[in-house]
Amino acid sequence: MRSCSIIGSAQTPYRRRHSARTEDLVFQVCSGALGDADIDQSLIDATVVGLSPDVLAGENCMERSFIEAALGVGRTYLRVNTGGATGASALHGAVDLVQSGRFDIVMVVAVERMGQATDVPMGFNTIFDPIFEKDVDLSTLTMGGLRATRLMIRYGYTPEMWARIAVRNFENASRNPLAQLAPQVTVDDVLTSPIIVWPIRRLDACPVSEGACAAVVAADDMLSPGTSRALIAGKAARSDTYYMGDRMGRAEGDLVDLASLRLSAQEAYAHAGISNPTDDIDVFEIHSPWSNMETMAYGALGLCAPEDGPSLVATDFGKWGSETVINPSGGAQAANPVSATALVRIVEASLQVRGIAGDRQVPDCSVAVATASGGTGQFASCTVLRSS
Amino acid sequence: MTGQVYISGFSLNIGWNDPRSSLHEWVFETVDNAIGLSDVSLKDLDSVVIASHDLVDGRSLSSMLTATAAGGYFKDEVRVADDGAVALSLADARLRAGSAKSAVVAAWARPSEMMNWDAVNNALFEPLYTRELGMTELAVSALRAQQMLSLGRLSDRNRNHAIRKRTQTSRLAGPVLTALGPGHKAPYPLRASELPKLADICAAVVLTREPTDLRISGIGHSSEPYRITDRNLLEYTALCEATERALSMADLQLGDIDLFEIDALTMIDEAIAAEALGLSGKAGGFSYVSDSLAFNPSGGASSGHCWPAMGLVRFIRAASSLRHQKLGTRHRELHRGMATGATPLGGQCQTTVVLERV
Repeated sequence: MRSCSIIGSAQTPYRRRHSARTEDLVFQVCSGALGDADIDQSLIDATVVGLSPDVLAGENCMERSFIEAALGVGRTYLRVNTGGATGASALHGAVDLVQSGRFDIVMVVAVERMGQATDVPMGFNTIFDPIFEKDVDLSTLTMGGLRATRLMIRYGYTPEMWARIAVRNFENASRNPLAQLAPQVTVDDVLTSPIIVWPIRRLDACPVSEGACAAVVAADDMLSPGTSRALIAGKAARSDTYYMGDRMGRAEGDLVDLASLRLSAQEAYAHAGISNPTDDIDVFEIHSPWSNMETMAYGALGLCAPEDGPSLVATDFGKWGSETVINPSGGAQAANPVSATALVRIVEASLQVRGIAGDRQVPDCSVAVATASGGTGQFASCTVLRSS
Repeated sequence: MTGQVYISGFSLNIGWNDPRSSLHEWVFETVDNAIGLSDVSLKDLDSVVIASHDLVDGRSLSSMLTATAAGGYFKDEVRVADDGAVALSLADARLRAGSAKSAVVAAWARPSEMMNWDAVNNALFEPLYTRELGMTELAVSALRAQQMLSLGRLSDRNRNHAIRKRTQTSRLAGPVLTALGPGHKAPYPLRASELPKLADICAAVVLTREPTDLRISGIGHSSEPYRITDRNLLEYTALCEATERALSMADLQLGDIDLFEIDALTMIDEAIAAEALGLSGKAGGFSYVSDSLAFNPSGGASSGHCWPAMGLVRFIRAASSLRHQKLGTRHRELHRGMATGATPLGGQCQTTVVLERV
């Protein structure tokens, strides 16, 4: 298989709402990624856009409008939409295009304008079944609450455990100048913040975020030896059932065990030659819009058995300064631009293995893993990046 | 370029407002049929690429519902919010890359369930200066036709002849469908008889790395600016560039192609595309489209149309002709075919696929 790497990336700061036009945000990150890769735009063969449901931005096929800014005119230009996993799906598509030999260098860009939505939860409500689910006000938030209660019943998680994760994420975000939220809070602050959907409190949850992120994926055989790169050592994605109820108590993995992420991680690890994730991986960027969602990923990522998750949290596993660091960027709790968030996780992981993550750089990071989750955890992916 | 990509089974369902199955049941039936006609079992399929659009499907992140129906359960499944030919291209890349051994590609649209097709089309356009003009996909076709008219390249005689011929070749049975909302008239100078016939469409193809009788030998893409005022509508620049790239990958010339399945909204668009590609001389597009057996023998958009399925529909039409050695109802020796898929906004992005009998 043709080897390829991320050789450049750029992000806007993430905000509740950007005043800039979408094409300006896209141009900013595409030109920034070209600059980081130190290549001219004429070398780009294709652009893969990550843009999730149109309802969030309230525009139909918004990717059509910023084709010039995304360097798409006269080139291959396509859009991927897998909900919260969109950014990773777009990057995986770019990798496939390069590894196929049809292209050498591909731009990936994802952008989110959900601050334009009049009602984000209502927009998310329309992803659910219109007859059986929609009218009970199911949204991504209430879905997160339901899964959290199942984690409490099944494995004994408590709100205090998730509050510790939230505190860690916000502390990490304080080192990330792009973060939208980085409040310095205590476990008590989290536990006394307003309930959004029980047991999720305001400081457990991601904000509504806008922003853009771009990455340049290139075939390694096109690069000079000294090029700064993050080798894409493994990638995989899996889809699961539409109805969350079909995943309850299932032999292949319960709703809160994230079978699609587990299968993705197993395949991506195998590609990358990872046999012991806790020892072999230095950084995890876990896509978890709520603090409890990170704990669902522990078993799927091979960090512990699912039932041992509460014990893992008790050890402060993943804390800044540990051998394995989780979400040094602050993760999705610091900013969650839905279309871009999975690409942000991958780009943050790539900065770590390239050793250019600034104040949030984890020392001697050589292997980093990024995860993605879309829909109700239905769409999942795992990407392993290695220093060259 | 690594490996070869072959076409195994394919299936195409075209109809209107069939109450017997819901969208995801309909997707399941079509994909199941394509897999059944292929040399690959569902168990062995390791990749699923689908093309669908939320506003056409009428719900947000619609692939949540349809991905599993398309065979995505525990597979590496991805959805492009793009034309079906783009999904085919991405699946081809996965196979050539070696990240999959077989893939199902599916695309669909069910306009019979849409409340207002024109409104969805109108919402594609720039919101401040263009949308308020009432722009739709048909309006772009009308602008093309007006340019042809002003250049004296739109003769009534050729046009009427083409309409008569197309009516004969159109394969669409069942109720009369229309691309216009109730009470709407065809935008000048288009005629109602030249308009696409909206249809519910579901298309599915199984690709594999194991040799079959058909293979994909070339794929090309290109794109044009967002604003139609920044394009020359008669040049079909993206279509021509995509075709040039696909032929280059296949190491073929246009003259080597025996069959063309071109995705265009109206017959006038087809005629202009034929001229732009060099299949006919200037002003000869209508004659070519109506008289050449090799051009859209399945009836083009008159045999059912709705984005984002059309690129995959054109591909299946071409694959079927090559496999069965038929142009329409006539037997012909066919070696190579070409299919194209266009995105909305007047065909802003184009994909060309070259396929060959092995």
